[in-house]
Amino acid sequence: MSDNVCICGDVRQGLYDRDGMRATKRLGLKKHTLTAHYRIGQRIAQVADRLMPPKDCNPTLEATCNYDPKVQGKSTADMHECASRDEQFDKMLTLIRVQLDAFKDDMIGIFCGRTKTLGDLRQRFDATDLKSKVCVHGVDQNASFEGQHPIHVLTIHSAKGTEFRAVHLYGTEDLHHFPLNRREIGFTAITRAKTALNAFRTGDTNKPLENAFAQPRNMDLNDLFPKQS
Amino acid sequence: MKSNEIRWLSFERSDLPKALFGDAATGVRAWRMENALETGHGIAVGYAEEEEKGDAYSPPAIIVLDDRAAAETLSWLKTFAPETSPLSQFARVVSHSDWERFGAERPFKPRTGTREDRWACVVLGELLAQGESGVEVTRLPLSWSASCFSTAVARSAILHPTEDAARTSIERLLVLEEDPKFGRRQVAIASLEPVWASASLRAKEVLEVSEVVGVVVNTMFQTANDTTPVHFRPSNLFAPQGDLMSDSVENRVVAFQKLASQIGDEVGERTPTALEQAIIAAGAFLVGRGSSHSFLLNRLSRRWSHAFTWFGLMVGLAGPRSWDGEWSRAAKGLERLLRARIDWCNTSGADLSWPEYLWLTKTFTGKQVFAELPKMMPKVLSVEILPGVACQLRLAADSGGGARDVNQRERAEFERRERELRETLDQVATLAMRARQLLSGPEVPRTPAQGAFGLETTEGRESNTSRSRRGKRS
Repeated sequence: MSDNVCICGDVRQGLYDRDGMRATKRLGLKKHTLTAHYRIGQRIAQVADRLMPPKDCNPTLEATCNYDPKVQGKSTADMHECASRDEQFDKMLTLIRVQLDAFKDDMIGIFCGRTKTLGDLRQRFDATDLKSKVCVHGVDQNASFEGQHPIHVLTIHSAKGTEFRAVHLYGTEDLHHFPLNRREIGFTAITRAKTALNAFRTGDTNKPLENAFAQPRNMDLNDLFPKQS
Repeated sequence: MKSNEIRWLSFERSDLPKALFGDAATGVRAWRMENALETGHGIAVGYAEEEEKGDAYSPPAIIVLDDRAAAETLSWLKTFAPETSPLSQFARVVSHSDWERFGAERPFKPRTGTREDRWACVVLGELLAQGESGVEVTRLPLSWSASCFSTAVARSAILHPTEDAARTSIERLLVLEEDPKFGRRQVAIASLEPVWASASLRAKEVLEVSEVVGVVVNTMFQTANDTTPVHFRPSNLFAPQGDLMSDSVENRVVAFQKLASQIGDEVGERTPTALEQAIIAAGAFLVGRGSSHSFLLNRLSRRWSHAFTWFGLMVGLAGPRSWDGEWSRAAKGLERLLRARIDWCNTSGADLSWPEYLWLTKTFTGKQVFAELPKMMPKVLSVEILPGVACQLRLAADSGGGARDVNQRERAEFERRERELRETLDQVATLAMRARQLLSGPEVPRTPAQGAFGLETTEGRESNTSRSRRGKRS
């Protein structure tokens, strides 16, 4: 069917803890290493690198980034701590409304750790004016990327291989415990985003993921001498 | 074709109809157009030199009318050879003065001093502004551009790149705009003139996105009065450190929303000024750093439609690098139409020439004057305001609809009367039934329809509807 077959892989995206690239060694295929990427914005690449630093002195995603923020827009990555899932959804909705204008004709991805959260999100979106713009994969009949839906809801596992201009990680508290706290899962989710990445949590998520989103800030007196309650 | 490749003939007035229908045998050859004009009593008929001489059928290519004799010539033809009126259906018709200004003894020299793609964007902006609200760029029929004032001005700038031609084309468009026989437009020429003037700035250059806003809005601000609030001054709105200049698209969208809200509050119910329209257009332009976010202007009310013309101008000034796919396809499609060359011997696609339009409007005052003219499209008349420069105008509702419209109106009126009659008969029938029930015995359940006819109480109290209907009849 084809003269050439290309097998691509990234060990950091090994969701199932398997190394599919071993097949290439057994088949004796010629190996090419991609030394630059154009999809992921600098800030998102920085978060991904923090979560899973490259091994064997390989260059970081940030260092090999050729994303042009002047043309594609400055990239952002933020984690939002919310009091409840309701607040998570409201905050996400506010951001999505802006993104629908900002990234017209591009797709927005919403990922969650657990399959049951998909149904929760379908219900929540059904109560909004964005109902018809949302496709929930695994819940909606005939869910597809071919339709006219600008917003796609998936589990992180089924998001592998996709890319979105903006990604929202909903309910990241679900990634607090094994097996969803594996770094490969967070890395895969983060690297689906091109320009905007937002994660939402109510309570703790896994620490490496939380730390990866941390932003440097100036220390002030309140940090040194916290007020006694 | 050069004008010296035209063969000029003059005719006795009685032979003119035959000549117009293709019999050139009775004509007298003249060395120059002016000679033909003189011997032809104010009308010179030109033929393409390349055509075979002595053909039995030889239709004219161009007709030049002496300015002073035009009215008399056209009147004579309409009276004694009505089949030849309007003359514009036979060949391109120009006045002698226009011939001297735009065509005398030289070929056209287009493409001097202007970028056609910039004008295409200006036309696209006006197309969005004049059209129905919420129309996407991809869904715009490009043929509608023929009815944009900007198309005529752009064609004039491309074909006749002189100050005189630019001024004349706008003056003539103003005459057309003020003619009550044509429908009113959403965007007036007066508000388009600053856009056209800005389109001529640094005509051969493509400007940077940040530069475009500075050039357009600052120019507008300088011409506006000093009452512009401080927070709407370009130096504040479009400061380099402001959110509209941020590298984050999301920040720019939020900044635009804030700007739209602020300026909306400021404007209230009044019509926005040109500066306010330009500012909101600049905001949408900066969000996409080009054409991609024109849809943001669709969300504003119709009062803001002129913002599209400023948006089109800004995108045009920033050049093709700032265009998204949809805008590129539409703009290049329009540019193709704008770049069409003309030849003096080619026929004009317009329904009426400028001299004949002037004569018709001065001679016949009624609104029906254009109704019976042969037209390329129903309800629309195109007038060639300068050689090669035409503008399409929609005839006002009561002036050009023609017989088909009259039939439609009559049919609608007939249907309305029939519906009213049917309703009245229904009421009479219901009333009769009610009366029979009242006369024949005890209480009978009422139908909802009875309530509407004033029968809701046994005392016979009537509803407002019923009273008013009776009042009208009496």
